[in-house]
Amino acid sequence: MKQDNKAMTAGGGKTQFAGREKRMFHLMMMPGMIMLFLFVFVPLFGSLMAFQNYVPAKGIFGSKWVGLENFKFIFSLPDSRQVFVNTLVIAFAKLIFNIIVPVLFAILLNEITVGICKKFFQTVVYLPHFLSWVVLATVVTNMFSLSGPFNAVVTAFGGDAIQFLADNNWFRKVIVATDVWKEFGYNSVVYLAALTGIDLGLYEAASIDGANRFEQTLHITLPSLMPTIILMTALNLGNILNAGFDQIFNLYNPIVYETGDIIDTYVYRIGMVERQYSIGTAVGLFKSVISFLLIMGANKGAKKLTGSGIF
Amino acid sequence: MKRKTLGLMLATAMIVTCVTGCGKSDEDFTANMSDDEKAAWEAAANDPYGKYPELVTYTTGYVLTSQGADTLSGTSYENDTQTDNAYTRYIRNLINVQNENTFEAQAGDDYDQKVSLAIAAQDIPDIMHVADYSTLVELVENDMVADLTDIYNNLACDTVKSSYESYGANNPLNAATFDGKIMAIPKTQLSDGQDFLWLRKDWLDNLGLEEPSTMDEVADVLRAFIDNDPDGNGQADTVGLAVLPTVYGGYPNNHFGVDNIFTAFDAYPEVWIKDSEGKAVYGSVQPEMKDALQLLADWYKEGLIDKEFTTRTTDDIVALISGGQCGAYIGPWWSPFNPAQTASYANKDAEWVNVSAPVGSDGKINAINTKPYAGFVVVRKGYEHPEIAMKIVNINSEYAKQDTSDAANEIMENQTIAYFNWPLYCQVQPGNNAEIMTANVKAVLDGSADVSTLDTEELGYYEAAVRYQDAVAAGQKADSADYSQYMSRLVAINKFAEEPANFMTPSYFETSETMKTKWASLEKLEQQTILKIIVGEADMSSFDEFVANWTSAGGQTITDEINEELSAK
Repeated sequence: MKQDNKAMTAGGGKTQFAGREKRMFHLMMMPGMIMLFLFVFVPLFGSLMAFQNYVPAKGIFGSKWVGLENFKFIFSLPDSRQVFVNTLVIAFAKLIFNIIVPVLFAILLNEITVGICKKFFQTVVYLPHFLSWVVLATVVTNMFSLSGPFNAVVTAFGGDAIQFLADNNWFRKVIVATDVWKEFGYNSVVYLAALTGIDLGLYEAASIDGANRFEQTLHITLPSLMPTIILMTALNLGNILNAGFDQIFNLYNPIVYETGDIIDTYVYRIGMVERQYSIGTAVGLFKSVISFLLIMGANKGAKKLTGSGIF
Repeated sequence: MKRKTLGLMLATAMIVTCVTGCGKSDEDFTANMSDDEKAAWEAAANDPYGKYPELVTYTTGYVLTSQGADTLSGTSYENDTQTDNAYTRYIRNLINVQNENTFEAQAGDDYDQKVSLAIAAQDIPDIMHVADYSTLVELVENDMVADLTDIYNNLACDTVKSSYESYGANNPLNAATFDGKIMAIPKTQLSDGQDFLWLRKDWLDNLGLEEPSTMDEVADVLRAFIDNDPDGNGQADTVGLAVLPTVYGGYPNNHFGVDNIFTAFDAYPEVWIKDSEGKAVYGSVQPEMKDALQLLADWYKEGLIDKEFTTRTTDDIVALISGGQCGAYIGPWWSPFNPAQTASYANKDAEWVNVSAPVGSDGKINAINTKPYAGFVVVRKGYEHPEIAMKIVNINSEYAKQDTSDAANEIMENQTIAYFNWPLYCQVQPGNNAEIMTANVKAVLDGSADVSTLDTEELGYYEAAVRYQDAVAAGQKADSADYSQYMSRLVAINKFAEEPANFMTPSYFETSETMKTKWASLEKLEQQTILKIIVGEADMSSFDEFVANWTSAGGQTITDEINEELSAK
């Protein structure tokens, strides 16, 4: 939506539309703007609930104001430290690996010169992205079960079968690995696009200077991808407090609460006992504020490092 | 947002009208009557089924159920409404009472919201259904509902009274009684009886095993099910007892929960029990838990319970059982309806049997009573005809069932098309209603009673049983729907009477104030500890640690709160 606005003003500045034409464009924008207003701006007022003891029957205006009580409550919970740490660790690991793996994959895929092979691999690794975690959780559970293929490998090498999903040493690793497996194909699209934009002349010049394939990748491909990588990192930083509710909710169990219980799953369970609107909103607002600060910070950092930010 | 503002305006308007208009309606309606008229009204009011001299209209909230009016289209009831349908016409003809609906809403959140709104606006209908206990408490504390003690004592019909009494110590009226006064008419929740150990009968037969009873016998059967290749396929591909990843809870509506193993040791996890001094205490933190946990830990080590139970979802367990890899689980009487059984019956030729095991020290299964009420009917304080509530519940629970007039048949017919509910949404039935129905059907099957003695519901069970028995007699496999009906209604329920269980009545069923915010973290603590002990990741000393943590992290506050709430009644 934001990009649309920008395009609009930029376009308007370059071409001198007659007033009526402009009005037509504005009219065409109306549905989008109304949607934005109804579904983004209006619900923002709901955040007020975070500072209330919200009772649905009394509504926002009738419920009692409690100041920062709800936030204090969240941080006074005995598990709040644990779930906060879990969330950060899992989300951070996902952030890192969801950049490294897709970049590597994009570079490798780019080296394949047979068109049909390239398309084939690209399509195959896309697929899991389109499946929901509810479905994939069954697949993952079976793959990592005692009689699953991973344990077949472990026992073939003489090890004891491991219950990967019920072991605090393994749970986070499985979560991060399966998430990367699901998303790397899709995430690599951006990098593949960036790769096609690199001036082939650079490679030619480098090979004339005697650089081999690896050196070319290191000194031409990676630096050329850097702006894209920084951009993607900055965008993803906003999700640092979203460690992936649907994935973890479908895969965890009480034994791995210690390493796998994240903010979202914890709040979900609190909400299940009694409809705690205010606490849910307080957590949501807290997460939004942190994400906002991180994105702004990352944007500023990116501007400083590369000279260009997102906005 | 707009809707909320509108709601707020409405609520404000209601408060204003209430402030200005309340009290008027509470004038004595007999003020301008002659003595004869007064006597006629009084007689009607004091007879359980007395007809009023003139039409009485009461305001109410109408609870709609999912099988609503839409399914009536195309029938003669097509134009029925929530103020004019088979039920309301019947009540009107019988006692000259008509409902006027202040609000109509689907059972569940929708209806509860309307009730909350009405309470917040201090303007509740004359008579209404409230779904949960906390709302009833709120109404009583705010002095908004009438004392129904005299009305109950004078007007409740025998069926209603005996139904409540059939719950014994778990009488639903207890919940509606405050300071010795009956403040509401509770809607009954049928007892679901005890859980059974469901075993593959064909496996038992293959291995020449007897049906187990004690804990050791159960262990022997499980051992044989794992080691001795019960399905005869030459592979060690069977797992032991299926166990839910949460282990227990929600008795007995929880398939694969192993509560019965705990109760056999007199441990009652996840319910509030009474200690020796009569105080409410939480079952999961009592020392009796240790014996059960030790046993489960031993069983887990030996593989007698599914090694991977912590990571299995309910669907995984169902797949395991219906795929013929597991032949033992704990479940309720309607378990033959669970896809685990229907699918294994249809595809794997499985035969199942429900066994009363593992038993406690006196040779019986220890079971837990469930919440005996499923809502309450309350009357606005100051309403001039409070007895109407009791009368409608009487009609619904007794009169209409015995009535064979056309009007009563109309209700029956209507019911089979759609469940267009009785106003007030309250029926009082004996706790063991399922057992009574089974006995009735069995009597007809045995030939000791005639088919005509069965009501519509019972007739359905009877017909399914006949179809099942015919198929078996002909050496064919019965339809799996008939199998489920026969196995649950006739075989499983029959054991309620033949092999009775001990029932423990929890002291508290509700959610206390602190539970709303702290329960999630206490539950986390509990589940973590229990699972770690069972899978051997932690030893028994961590249980004591858990109890200490649980107590200090809010458990004590909640216990005190509940005891205070209970002693206040």
